[in-house]
Amino acid sequence: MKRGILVAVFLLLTGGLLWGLTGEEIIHKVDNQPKPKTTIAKMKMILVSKSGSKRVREVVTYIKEDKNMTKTLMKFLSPADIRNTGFLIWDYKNSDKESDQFLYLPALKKTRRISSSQKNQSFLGTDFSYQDMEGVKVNKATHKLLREEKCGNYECYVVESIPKPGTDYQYSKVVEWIRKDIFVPVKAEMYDKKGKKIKRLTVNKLEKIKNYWIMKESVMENLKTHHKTILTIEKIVVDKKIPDAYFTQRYLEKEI
Amino acid sequence: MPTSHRGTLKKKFKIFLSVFLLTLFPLLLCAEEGEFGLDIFGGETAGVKFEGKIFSKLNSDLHQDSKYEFTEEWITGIYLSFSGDIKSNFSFFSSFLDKYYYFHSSYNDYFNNRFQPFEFYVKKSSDKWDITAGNQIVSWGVSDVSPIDVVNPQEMDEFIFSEEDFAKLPVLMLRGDYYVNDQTTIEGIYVPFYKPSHFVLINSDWSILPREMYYRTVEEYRKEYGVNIEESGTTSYVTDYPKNSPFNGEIGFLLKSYREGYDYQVAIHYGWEKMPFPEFNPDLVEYLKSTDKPMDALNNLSPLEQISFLPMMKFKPHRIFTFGGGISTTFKSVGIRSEGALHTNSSIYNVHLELLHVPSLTWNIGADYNFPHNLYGNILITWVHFFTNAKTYLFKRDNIFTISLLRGSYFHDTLTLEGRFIFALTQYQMILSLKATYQYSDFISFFGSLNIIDAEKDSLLYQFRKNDFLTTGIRYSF
Repeated sequence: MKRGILVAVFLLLTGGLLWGLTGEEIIHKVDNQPKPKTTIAKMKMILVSKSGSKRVREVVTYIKEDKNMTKTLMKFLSPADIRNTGFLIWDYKNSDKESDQFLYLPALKKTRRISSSQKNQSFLGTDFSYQDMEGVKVNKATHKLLREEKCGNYECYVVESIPKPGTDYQYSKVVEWIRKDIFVPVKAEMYDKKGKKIKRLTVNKLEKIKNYWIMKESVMENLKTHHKTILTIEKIVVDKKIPDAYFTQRYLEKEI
Repeated sequence: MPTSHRGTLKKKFKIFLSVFLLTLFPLLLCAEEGEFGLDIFGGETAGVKFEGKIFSKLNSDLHQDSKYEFTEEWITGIYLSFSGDIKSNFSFFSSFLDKYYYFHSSYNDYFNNRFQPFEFYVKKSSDKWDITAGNQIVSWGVSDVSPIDVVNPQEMDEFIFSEEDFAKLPVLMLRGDYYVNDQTTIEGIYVPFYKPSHFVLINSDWSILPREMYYRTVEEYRKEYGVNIEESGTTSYVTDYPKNSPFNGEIGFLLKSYREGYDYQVAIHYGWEKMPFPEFNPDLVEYLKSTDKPMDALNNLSPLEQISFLPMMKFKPHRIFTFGGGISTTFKSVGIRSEGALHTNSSIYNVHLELLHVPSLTWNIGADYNFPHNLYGNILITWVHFFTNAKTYLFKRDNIFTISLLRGSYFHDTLTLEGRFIFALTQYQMILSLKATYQYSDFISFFGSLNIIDAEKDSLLYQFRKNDFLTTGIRYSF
C-alpha cells in the first residue's frame, strides 16, 4: 500500500478552496496536513446490513513511517474465529518495488507471504476497498472546486477529483466536502465508471490529537446495496516510539 | 492411535517434568527481560483468556456400496483454550479437544469419544529468545503442503477432510527460537517421545484396513468355525513403536530468513515416521511372492490362511532424516513459492507387498493470485521421486500431483464458496471438494460441502474411491 492504512483513512485526499485558492491548491493543503510518525490504534468496524443485522470486527494497528518505508502490523481481536490473525505490510516509498505482505493464520500456525490484493477488493469484508484505505496520490487526479456550502455546522468546500487518464483507480470521480477551517474532509461521494454514485463516506467525529486531526468515527455506505461500515477508532496513541522489531514475523505471530 | 500405544502417560509426564526441571528451568531464569509486549493500551493481553469452538457435522454417503459402509457419520467436537501471562514475558497456553463420533451402517453402528489434551505449554521470552516447553504445534516451510513440515503427526481420522485447525496433532516438545536479527530466526526443537499420526484401523470409512474386508472375514469365520474373532480379541496387527528413551527422541533445526522480497527456510530434522506403513508378515510376503497377483491373493485369503499368517501386519516406524528448504516471493502480484526436501527411509511397497525403505525427494512449486471480484486462486504442483529400481505398488517411482484452489468471498465475506481439486498425473487419482460457508453471525457459521473421490486400481486412493459424501455442519466460535 502506498500509504499507511490508518493515516489514509484519517486524511482522505481531496481538494478544497480557500478564498482565491484553486482545487489543486486545496488538495495540496489537505495532503500536507501533518501526519504522525507512528500510530497505534484500536479500531472497531461494525458491518451493518440493509436489514440492520450487525457484525463486529476489532483490530489493533501499528503503523510506523520510516524514510523509505511504511510498516504496518494489524492484529485481529475479534470475532473469535479470526482472533490473532495478523497482517504485516512493508510498503516501499519512492520505489516501484512491490510491497511485502505477510498473513499469519493462527489456526494453521503459519505465516505466509501473500500477493497484493486487487485494489478494488473489499478490505476485510467491509465497505472500504483497499484503495479507499490507501487513497490516491494527489498528482494522479485533477481537482476542481465545484462550490462552497454548509456541511453540518461548518463551512465546506466541495471539490471534484477526476483521475487522470491511465490512472488505475476504481472510481470515475470522487466529490468531497472539506472543512474550510481545518482542511480536513468530512464527507465524500464516489462514482463508478458509469458515472453512478455508489458509495458515501461520512465523518461523524473528528478529534485533534497533538497536531493531527483524527477521524474518530466514519461511515462508509454502499448506496447500491445499502450495506454500511461504521469505522470507530476506540483508542489511539500517536508518535510513540515503536521498535522496528514489532514489524517482524515474530510479532506477527505473537498472541494478543 | 492403536490402543497398545496408549497408557504410560503418567510415566511420560514424570520424565518430561524431569527434563523440564533439569534443562529448561535454568534457561528460563537466565533469559533476559525485555519490553516487547504488544499490549499498548493495557487490557488487551491482561488476565486469563478463554476461547472455544464447537462444531458438529454430518457426513452423508452419496451411495451405499455395501452393507458394511457407513452411510452417516456424525462428528462433533468441543475445543476450549485458556491462556495468559504468569508474569512479564512468561506466558502459558492450555487447551483440550473432545471429539464424539457416531457412525451408522446397516451392518452395525459405531460410537466413540476421544478426549485429548491439545496444546499446553509455557513460554518464556526475551529480546533475543523464545523458549517454549510443552505440547505444541509448529509449522515449518513456506509452501502450502510442505515437505519439511515433519515435526507434528497428523490427524487422519477423516483422511484429509479433518477440520483444518485440528489437522495436526501437538507433541511434547522443547523448542527454542533465537532471533539473530529482525530478518533471521533459528529454531531448534527436541521431541522426547514418539507420537504417531492418529489413524483408524478398522471402524471408519477412512480406516487402513478396509471395513468390508475385515467384517466379511469376521462373518466367514463365524459361519465356518462358529467363532467370533472380534470377541476373541484376535488381532491381525501389532505395533512396535520406539521405546521412551531420551535417545529415541527427535531433533530438528529450522533457519528462516526474509530479505529483499524473498523468504527462505532451511530445515534439518532427525525423527521418526509419523505414519508407519503396515509391514506384512514375512511368511505372508513369501507366500504372495509365489503368486501372480499378490494383491488379489491377499484379498482372497481364506480365514484359515489369515490365521496362519497372524499377526498379518506390524506397524513399526523407521528413523527418517529430512533435509530441505524453500523460498517464496511475489512477482507482479503473483505469489510464488517452491520447496524441496530429501528424506531417507521413505516407505514404499514393491509389487509383492514387501515394505522397502528408500530415499525420496519431494519438490513442489506453487503460485497464487487475487483475481477481481474477491476471487482467490492457488495452484501447487508436487513431484515425489523414490530412489529405487524395484517395481512398486501404491506409489510409482515418480509421482506428480496438483492441488488447485479457487475461493470467492461474497456479500461482505458472509458467503464463501470454495472449490479444491487434487489430481494425480502419474496414476489416475482425484479428489474434488466443493464447499460453501455462510457466516450467520460473528459466532455462528453453517457449512456444506460435496466431496468426490475417484482412483484407478493399485493406487493409494483406490480404497477410498467409494467415499463420496455430502457434509453439512455448524460451527460456533466464542
